[in-house]
Amino acid sequence: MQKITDLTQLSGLLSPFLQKGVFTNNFLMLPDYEKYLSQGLLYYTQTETGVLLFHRRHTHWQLYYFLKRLNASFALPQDKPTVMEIVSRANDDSFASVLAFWEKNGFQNRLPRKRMQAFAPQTKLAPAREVNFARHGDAKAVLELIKASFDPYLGCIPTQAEIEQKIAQGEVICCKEADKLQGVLEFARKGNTFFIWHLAVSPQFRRQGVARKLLAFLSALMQREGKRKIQLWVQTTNLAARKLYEQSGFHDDGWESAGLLYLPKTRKE
Amino acid sequence: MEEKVLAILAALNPDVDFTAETNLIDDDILDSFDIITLVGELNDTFKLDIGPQHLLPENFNSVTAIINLIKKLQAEG
Repeated sequence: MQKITDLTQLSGLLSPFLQKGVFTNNFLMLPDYEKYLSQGLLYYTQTETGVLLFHRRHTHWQLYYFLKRLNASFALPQDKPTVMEIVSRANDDSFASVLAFWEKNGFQNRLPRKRMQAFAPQTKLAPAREVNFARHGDAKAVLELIKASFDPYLGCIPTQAEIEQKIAQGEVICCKEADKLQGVLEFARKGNTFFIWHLAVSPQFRRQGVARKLLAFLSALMQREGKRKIQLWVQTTNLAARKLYEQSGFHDDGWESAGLLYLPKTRKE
Repeated sequence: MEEKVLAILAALNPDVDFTAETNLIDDDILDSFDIITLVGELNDTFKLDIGPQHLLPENFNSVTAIINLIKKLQAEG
């Protein structure tokens, strides 16, 4: 595996594969590439039929593949797990064969998800006084709750610095009672959309309407800022969460994804 | 050229009137997951070399922007 030093080198590697018919899970745009390159976090491996691009993270490698055929053989990093997300429209016939290829190469589909969106989320709940934007001092508890609630590799766990930045941007909402964090909603503003990255409720406060209060706050904020829709990914097997979202006005938007994990052969999870 | 671009876009999402939209990326009408498919189709159809350096929202926000990118790359030869 070799480090990619600049955009010229990256373009030379990827351009032959930005063609019709190439299998890829890539969705990065130029600002993403520039950010990762400036941080020295992009690596690659060439195979006989394509390129594997690796983004080095604290706990794992994030893989983006560009393959002309699904018959390549390659060596994966053995120092930490490798994860990737394959996103597809629900009616894409090639999804199953792509998944089967990667499972044959040692990956497991650990996190199947569906994307949901809402154009007019229900806002019947009055704003709850215990729900508000997180403050800087909430960062540690917020991060702990997110870590405890989501997959360590595929859950897009932010760093302390990242969550502090999100709090400063007004993109973290907390539900607190007597300074005890009951639930958190972390989202991102993108164009006319609010994208929910994490919605988590502490186990002892579940089934008490905390998630609904957080969603109601976000819905009111959406209307106040004139946004058009809210999007999120939900684990396909998490029926309770899907029901909550459906009751709040969300519906499947036709996209699905597989979160794949490869554990090094010497490593026990 | 415009007809071909519109046909490629329609294949991605037949429910959208792409002639009227000017914020395809910023308004999330074209999904980020669609961009790589779009780039592959454009490279193939117009024999272009759209690379990572061109993957900016402003190059794909409207049919006009896409045509401008195609023309620019064709002029660069």
